[in-house]
Amino acid sequence: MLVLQDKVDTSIAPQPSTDADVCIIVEGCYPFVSGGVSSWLNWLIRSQPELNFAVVAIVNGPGPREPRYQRPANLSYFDVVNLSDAYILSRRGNVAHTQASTLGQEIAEAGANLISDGDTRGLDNLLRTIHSHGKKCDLEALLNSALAWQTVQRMYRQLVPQASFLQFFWAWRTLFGGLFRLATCPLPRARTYHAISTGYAGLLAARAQRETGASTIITEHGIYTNERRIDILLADWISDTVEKGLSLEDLTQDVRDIWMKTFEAYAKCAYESATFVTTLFAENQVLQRLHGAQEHKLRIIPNGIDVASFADVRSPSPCARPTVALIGRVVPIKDVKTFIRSVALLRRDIENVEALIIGPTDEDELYCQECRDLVEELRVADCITFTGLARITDYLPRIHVLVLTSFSEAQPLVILEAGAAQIPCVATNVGCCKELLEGAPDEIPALGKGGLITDAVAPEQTAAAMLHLLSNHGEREAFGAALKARTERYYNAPQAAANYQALYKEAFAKSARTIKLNVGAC
Amino acid sequence: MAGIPSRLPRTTENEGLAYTILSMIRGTVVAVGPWLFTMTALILISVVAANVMSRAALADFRGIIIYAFALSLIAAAPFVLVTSRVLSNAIDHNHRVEAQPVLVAGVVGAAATSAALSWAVGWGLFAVQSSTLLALMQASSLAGMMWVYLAVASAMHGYKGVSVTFVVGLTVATGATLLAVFGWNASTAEMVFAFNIGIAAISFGLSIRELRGTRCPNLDIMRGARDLALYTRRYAWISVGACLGAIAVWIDKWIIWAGPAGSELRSGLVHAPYYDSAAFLAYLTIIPSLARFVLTLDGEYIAAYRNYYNAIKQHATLEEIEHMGGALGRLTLELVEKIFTQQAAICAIVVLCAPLIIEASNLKYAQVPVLRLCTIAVLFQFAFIAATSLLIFFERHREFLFLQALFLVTNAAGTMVTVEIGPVSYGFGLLVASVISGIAAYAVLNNVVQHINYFTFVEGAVRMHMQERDNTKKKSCSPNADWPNEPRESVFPSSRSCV
Repeated sequence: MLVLQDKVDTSIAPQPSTDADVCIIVEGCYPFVSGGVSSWLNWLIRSQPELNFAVVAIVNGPGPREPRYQRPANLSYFDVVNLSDAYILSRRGNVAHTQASTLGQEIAEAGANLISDGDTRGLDNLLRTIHSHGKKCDLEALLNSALAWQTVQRMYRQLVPQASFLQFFWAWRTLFGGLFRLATCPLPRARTYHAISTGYAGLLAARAQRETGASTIITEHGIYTNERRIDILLADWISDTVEKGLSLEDLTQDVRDIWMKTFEAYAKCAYESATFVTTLFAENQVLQRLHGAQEHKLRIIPNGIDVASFADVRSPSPCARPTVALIGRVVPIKDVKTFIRSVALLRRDIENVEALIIGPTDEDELYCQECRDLVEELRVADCITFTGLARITDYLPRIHVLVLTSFSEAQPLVILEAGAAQIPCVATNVGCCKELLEGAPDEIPALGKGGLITDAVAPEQTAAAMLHLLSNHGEREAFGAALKARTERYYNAPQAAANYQALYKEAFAKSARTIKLNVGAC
Repeated sequence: MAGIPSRLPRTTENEGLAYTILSMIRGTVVAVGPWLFTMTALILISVVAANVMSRAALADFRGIIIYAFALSLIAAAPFVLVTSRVLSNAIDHNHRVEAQPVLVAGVVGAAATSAALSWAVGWGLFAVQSSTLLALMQASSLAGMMWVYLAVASAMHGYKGVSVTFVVGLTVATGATLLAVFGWNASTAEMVFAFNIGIAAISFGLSIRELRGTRCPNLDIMRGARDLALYTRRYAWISVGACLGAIAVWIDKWIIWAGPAGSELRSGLVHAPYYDSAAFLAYLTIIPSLARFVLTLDGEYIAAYRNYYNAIKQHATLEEIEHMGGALGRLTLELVEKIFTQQAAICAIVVLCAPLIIEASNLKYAQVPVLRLCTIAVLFQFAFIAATSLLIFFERHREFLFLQALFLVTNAAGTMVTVEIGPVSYGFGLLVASVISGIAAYAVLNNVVQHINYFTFVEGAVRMHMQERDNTKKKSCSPNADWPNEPRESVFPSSRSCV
């Protein structure tokens, strides 16, 4: 293992701060976004009160940003790393054209090897080069000087000599700008580093492991590389300029390939450096293995909720107005429009049905307006209510069936919360929704169904499933009871907290061992 | 996700900027023409009025107008540069009417600072008496307005309209001045007031031309002033550079005026006819070269410039970009070199024929060396003007400022030394300054075109990001600083009970 700490130039090296037990590295969410991974992280930090946490939040673009959560008492260090060079670079780098050639060659070679062969030694070489050259290789020099120009030219010639240079230049600035930023940003000292995705967070964890010898953990709710692959494939601002014709054998790379390969390489570095790689459910591990995670590092730690806090939630009376609800942010990924369409279909059979859309509406106001327009267009305004941000415990006693129409989910907490309140669910077959509602293949004893699974973007199926559950009181009760039993057994917060406590304990032990070995070697 | 941008940044914005910058250069360079026209008008007035006015009174009149023009050119330089750039840019984006408050603010600013500067110089330095001082301030503020309108109008390719307005205005100025002289036996100050009618006519004519289509309610002057301040900050380097450049052009004259060759006019202002007249003749030689420079920029050069940026925008490979960048670089240097050669030929003729020219101009034979030295100086000044203008093309604002400062300092130092040596060396300081600055400007330009792709991409990205940051006002993200003790929204309890 490469330990760079003794070679670090103190002028650019991360400044030591209060030591933390766990340094959480998170990209694009906590504490500035509510819901999803952010609220899980908020829970995780609070669930380990005996541990001292640091958080490095990686963001991109202009603020202002305001935390959406109260600062946990056991959070001793918080820092923001902005990847956007508009907000970090205030001056030009001081490297002349005459000096830049050799250094540029070195950096370009390491970078190109990292991307083209997925060779993680490329990251080692990059970090070593950056740290050993001090100010000559500071962030401004790496991005805003002749050195940057030498590096980008050489990498372009090595990787995509036939592609649009303009596209490559900006891709390079974004991808390697992020890497350079993370290679030079302050890093708090911690006993273990816990990255909540691969990508840039995983990359910073990989750097931490190399510099400090501490153990690192990667936890993925969704698989980052896969999500980026979808983003990149759909990105219309990336032009495909290399003409490949109809040949499937043509291996000529375009800039779009570079985007994907870079994120794959970053993931590989993160997995290789990690002591443990965890996720929420087994299907995710298939992709993690595919992207280079070694089998012995893989763990599954499902999310948990505080089941006891839902004990007082009473089930609605069968005589009450039939009520279905979608709980989540009103954003495209939740496919709220499918829910609205399915309610319109359901209304043909159950005239007095009530539908609630419970969740913040301010994240994508345009989409929210489109949803409201759809409600008007389908003439269901009298039965659909947008509640906005709300306490779900206020609404759970009214809900007969919880619905999830998302395009993509990992392990949605709302299903567990509905389960804790004994409410059956209808959910799309994404993430581990099926496992939550029907049980894992190895669930012994089988607890039975907790709801119905539908395809994504299938309002007829969703409407039929809602109708089925609303019309069968007995089945609805049985499904609710099964889901509650599954939640209590497999997805309760104390158990999840204990799992993470055990994981951290193991990680601390590994850290101590590795650091001792390194000291011995020195 | 933090790392993927949602759009491709526009490195190729220079493609659209090409015409903006070209217009600005055109406007700045073309402003030299009116100087010569004005000098011609002053000579005409002096010749016609020679029979009824003393030589001293006429010299005084010419001195006040020259002071007013010179001071206003310096005071108005930043306004000229920024306003013509903003207007050119607005026209590129079809926002001309929206940009007109900036023009009005620029005109008002130029007039006010010109008046203030002429007051400071006239009253503070030379204790010019009240009526003459008032005439000087009025002439200066009107000229300040005129420079702005003139630069903007020229930048918009309105050569014909500008020329007609200018010729009509100067005819009015000349006519009014002569009428004052012959009709009312006017004093020097009254002659200046009469001349000012013509300058006001030019400003008025150009303002009608530039502000047409704007309704008064649309003219939000305060907004214009705010925008102007914003743009002046954005173009601070070239604004200051333009100001220093204007001072640099005059610094040798001022130093000589203050020296033994200087003589006091009736009004209290000083001048040095021994140096001024020869230097003026030398400056006439630059006209053909500047004209060819502007015309070449407008044609062949702008086409190559656009081809380069279009190729980048249309996803050329690095090899193609390097090829086109190399061609543009060669063309840039050739542009300066070819016209420099032409200027050198003119210079050689003038140097050889200097005694004849001096005799024909009714000057003293002793001024021959001054004419020769100043003519060679003008040769290098052409290289300096061309190279520094092209540096603005490549957005090298800091280099522009540095070079203008260099010319100012070397011209001042060189001229001070020549004043110590004596009249025989007058013009040598300007020559040394022009040679040093011309060579330095060419060397900087050469360096820029050698690394044209670096400047286009890396420096372009830095510039773009800095502008973006200025626009969005950076929000501090320092550790712990933006995490208040209480969140804005409802607190999540131990697990989660709301979304």
